Amino acid sequence: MSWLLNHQRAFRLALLRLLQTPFATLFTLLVVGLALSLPSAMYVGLKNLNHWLGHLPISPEISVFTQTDDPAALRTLEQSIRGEAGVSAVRLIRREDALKTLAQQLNINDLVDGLARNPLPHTLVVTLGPDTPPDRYSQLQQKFAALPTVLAVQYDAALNQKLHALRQLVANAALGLGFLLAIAITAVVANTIRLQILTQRDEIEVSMLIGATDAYIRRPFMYFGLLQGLLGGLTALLLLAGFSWLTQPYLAEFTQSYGNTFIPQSLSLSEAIALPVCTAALASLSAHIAAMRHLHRMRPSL
Amino acid sequence: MISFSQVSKRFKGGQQALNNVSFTIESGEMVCVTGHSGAGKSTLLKLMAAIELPSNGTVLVANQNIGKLRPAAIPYLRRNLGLVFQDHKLLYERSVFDNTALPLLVQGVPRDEIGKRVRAALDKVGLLGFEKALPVTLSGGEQQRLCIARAIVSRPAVLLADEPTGNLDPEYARSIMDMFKSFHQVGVTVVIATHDETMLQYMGGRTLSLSHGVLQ
Ligand SMILES: Nc1ncnc2c1ncn2[C@@H]1O[C@H](COP(=O)(O)OP(=O)(O)O)[C@@H](O)[C@H]1O
Ligand SMILES: [Mg+2]
Repeated sequence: MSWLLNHQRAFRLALLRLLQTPFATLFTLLVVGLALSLPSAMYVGLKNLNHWLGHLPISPEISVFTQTDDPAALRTLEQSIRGEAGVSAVRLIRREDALKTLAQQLNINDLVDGLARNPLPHTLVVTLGPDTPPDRYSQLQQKFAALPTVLAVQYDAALNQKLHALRQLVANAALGLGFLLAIAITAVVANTIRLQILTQRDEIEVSMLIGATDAYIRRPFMYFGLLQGLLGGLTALLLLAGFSWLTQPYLAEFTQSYGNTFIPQSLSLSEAIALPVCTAALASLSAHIAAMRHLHRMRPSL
Repeated sequence: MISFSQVSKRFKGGQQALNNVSFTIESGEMVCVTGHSGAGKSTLLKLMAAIELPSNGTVLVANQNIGKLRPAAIPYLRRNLGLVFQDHKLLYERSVFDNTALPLLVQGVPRDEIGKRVRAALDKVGLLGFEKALPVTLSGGEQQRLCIARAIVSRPAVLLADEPTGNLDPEYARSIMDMFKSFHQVGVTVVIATHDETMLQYMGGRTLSLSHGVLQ
């Protein structure tokens, strides 16, 4: 029971210390919030970029040309292509349709009408999932080329490489931002804890002399860090909400230019919850370590 | 209760504060430690509370070897001791009540229990009614009483007091000493460091006399 009591008291003390210096607290929360909201906003931006990349009409495709005209053989071919890992869609373009399109595009209807027979093959257009790595494309190209009745296989390797590299960059940038975020909180919280310990030096020293355990002394600082992290995370969410409200009209214009197929992304509910929870956890850990270090330094005379 | 066996304490700067000191204090005994300024009285008391560790020899307090104590065990040892510091170590921006309550807070005592015990301790030293006062508004003697209240509030088995009559006039000093006598009478082990000869005579009982870190 005294365990629970100790934690209650430490929490109340931490809350009291936050409230006792409202301006310093507000300032710290703003700093933590800003430090967090900047990388968070960039994260949302990256998320949108990635989403947008996924919706580009230029997602790479593999074209498989086949010499067969037999419906059964076509179906078998289509099925074996569909069975490959990473394939998300297969679309058949019949040779008649291909010729018609070609004739229209090149405006050579007369010429085409004059042809004795259709020189074009049937084409199976294969779309792969958005996260398929580039070497899977070349792998599949070879596999498809070896299938019966296949004349040739074609895909735009360069575009595919570029898109993949861009996605990879986005993912790495998000990871780097997470790292920056962690460093920002750790630094800010550790500094406030250091200042707290300095102003409470006497009380800490006396408490140690009359039988306080290290855990007892560290506890209010840990809760102090936890509250700062939690409130800082919430401040960041508020700033982020304000930011997206401000940019809303411009984004709407942008999405309209893409025929509204692109829906602007913001933080999902789980991400919005994860932000303050993670910052609270990180901040209390940082506070714990900072308190441990400074108390250790205070100890030699005790 | 407290036993020193060939204890020496040498500080980092090379100061030899105690030199080969041996003695035993039985449970329930009252002992005065005396000697000139710099003789090693404070160091002796600090060793008992694990505030300093011996350089040589063995210090036993309540059957615990101070030199071999794990750092995590030190707080629990100190909870059995009531300490009156030579430099008071009061928290000057905290009330008399809060100062007295500190040892109980540290031990996780429930709130109403704290209220009862703090008032009992303040009553014993004659500071009841000063609960809300800040230490700076108290006289030197009253501050000394506050230190004693804080030392006894958790009802320790041992009281260690370092110059508790420091700068007090003789009459006030005697009233402080009477308090220690009364604690001794109810079974508390009391160790008082003082350089004041008249107080020594007033207290009677056993005296440990130090000179330049050597027990005479
Ligand atoms: N922390 C310390 N570092 C170095 N020397 C110290 C320290 N504390 C005490 N001393 C020295 O040890 C000797 C004994 O000091 P102390 O025990 O305070 O004497 P007393 O209390 O009898 O006046 C003195 O010479 C003092 O200068
Ligand atoms: Mg002294």
